[in-house]
Amino acid sequence: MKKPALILLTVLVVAAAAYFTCYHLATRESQRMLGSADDLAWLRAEFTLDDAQARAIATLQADYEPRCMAMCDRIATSSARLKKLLHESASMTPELEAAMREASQTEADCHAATLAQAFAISARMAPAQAARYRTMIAARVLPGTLRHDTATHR
Amino acid sequence: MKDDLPLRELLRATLPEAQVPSRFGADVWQRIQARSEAPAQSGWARFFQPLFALLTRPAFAAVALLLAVCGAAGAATLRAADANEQAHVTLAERHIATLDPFAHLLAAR
Repeated sequence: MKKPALILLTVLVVAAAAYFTCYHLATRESQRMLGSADDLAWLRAEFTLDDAQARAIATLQADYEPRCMAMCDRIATSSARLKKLLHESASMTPELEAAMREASQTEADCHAATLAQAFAISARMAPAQAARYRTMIAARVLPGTLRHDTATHR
Repeated sequence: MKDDLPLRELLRATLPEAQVPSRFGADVWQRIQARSEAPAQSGWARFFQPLFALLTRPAFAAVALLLAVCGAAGAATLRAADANEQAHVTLAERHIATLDPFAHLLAAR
């Protein structure tokens, strides 16, 4: 009885080793990118960018970052103002209306800036990859209503 | 048969004269009693015992090893595909957070 149990144990150990080895090999690249602080590594691999394309996109992103941060501040400010007015008001006031308009304008400006940056990035890619990139961005960035319209008109 | 004396003589001459040990009968009964008192094997044990016996044959052991390795590799590949898909979504969202201020604020929370 000892010998079959030993053989069975060996089979199980070898199978477990095969499982973990295959899993590690198959997920190595994605795990490496997840662990990396370099955001462009994924973009480079996913959209098969060459060195020149990757450098151009890195420059674009570096230029865009301060603008993105400024927009984040604008969103936070307009959102805080709107919340404060909503909390204080018992009826629709001109200030509340102005704050809502400003929040909507901020949102529209942010979406426009995001899409402009996405177009600028896609312009550095090969045409097929650029189309795929724009589709991905549109699916994730466009506001819900626009996304719905795009989906229904396909 | 009763009158077949030559045959009886022939049988007596050919049968070996073996000496039976003195406790032979007692030993046999002891074994029978021990076997009857042994706990009955469960259904699983009865099912696996022939399979375990097969594992002792090198060809079957090799086939079992091959099947186990192929099964493990297949399961790992399927699970890795899920993990890669999840990683793809996370990395795409991470990139979008560098473009979209709303996504950036959400990711920073």
